[in-house]
Amino acid sequence: MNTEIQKYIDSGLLEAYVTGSATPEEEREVLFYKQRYPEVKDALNQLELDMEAMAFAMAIPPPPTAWDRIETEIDDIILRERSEPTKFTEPEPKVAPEPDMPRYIDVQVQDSHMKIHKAWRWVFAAVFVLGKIFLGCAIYFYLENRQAKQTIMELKTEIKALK
Amino acid sequence: MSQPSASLSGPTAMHTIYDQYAGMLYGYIFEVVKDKQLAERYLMMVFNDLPHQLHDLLQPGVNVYHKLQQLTRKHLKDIFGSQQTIIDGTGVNGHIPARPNKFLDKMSAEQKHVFCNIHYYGKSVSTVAAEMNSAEEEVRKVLQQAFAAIRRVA
Repeated sequence: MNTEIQKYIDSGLLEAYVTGSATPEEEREVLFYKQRYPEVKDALNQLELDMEAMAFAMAIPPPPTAWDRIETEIDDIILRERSEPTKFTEPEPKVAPEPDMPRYIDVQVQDSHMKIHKAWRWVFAAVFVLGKIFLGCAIYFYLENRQAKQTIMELKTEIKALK
Repeated sequence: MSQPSASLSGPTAMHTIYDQYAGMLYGYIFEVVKDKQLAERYLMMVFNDLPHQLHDLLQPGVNVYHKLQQLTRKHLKDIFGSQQTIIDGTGVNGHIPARPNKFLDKMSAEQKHVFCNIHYYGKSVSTVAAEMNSAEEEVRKVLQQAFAAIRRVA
């Protein structure tokens, strides 16, 4: 192993980095050495494992309700972030409609109701009235037909009696 | 300890990380603040901050515990600033552990002093060196010896 690198490893800077007590400059230096020299990387990994082993031995089970509270808090944060209003941006100017075209505003609504042009109400009224007329006619012709059938039956009975 | 996989989705990864490391962090925070309720509050702060760090945390080659501890130290900054080092009879050991600590037991008084001031009191090497009236290189050497003691126990 390079003596200079070994000297660097033995300087105690890696320990300072792992415990978070190094200066930002020293941290940058350690990360540079870590990237460049596998020996430094291995030494650093070992120190991180030492810290982890110590923490593992000194662990205390957190209160049983802690995770539920953390989860609720995180869900709230995620919901808050999702519902954050988007930044207003100036809409692009729309091209004016042709003078002979009807002026409708293209709006998308969230509710389940449909809105249509007022002109359609006369069409619906006409359909309704025509429907009533046809219904009236149907009842009238049904009754007429029944009356005619009854008359025919009576006439047939009379003819049979005459014979 | 097996590292959480980068392929895990956000909530699953969070839960896996919590299961693996919450106890370790809680133990560390408790040693710093010496109050279980306060320690729980800091633990929650760390994990509430985690969704923003999750991507970096799950990168291959990253020691998750080390990253979590860095994050915890950031949150404990106020506590670190308000702590007073307790000097015992020897005038060297500034930390009274909240629970028996076999790692600290294996350290010399000087190693314990340096390690505890850095690890549990969040002090920088330069601050500890100034307090001990010695050079930073010396403090780093003592810190290194403290790690050697930890490794012997681990």
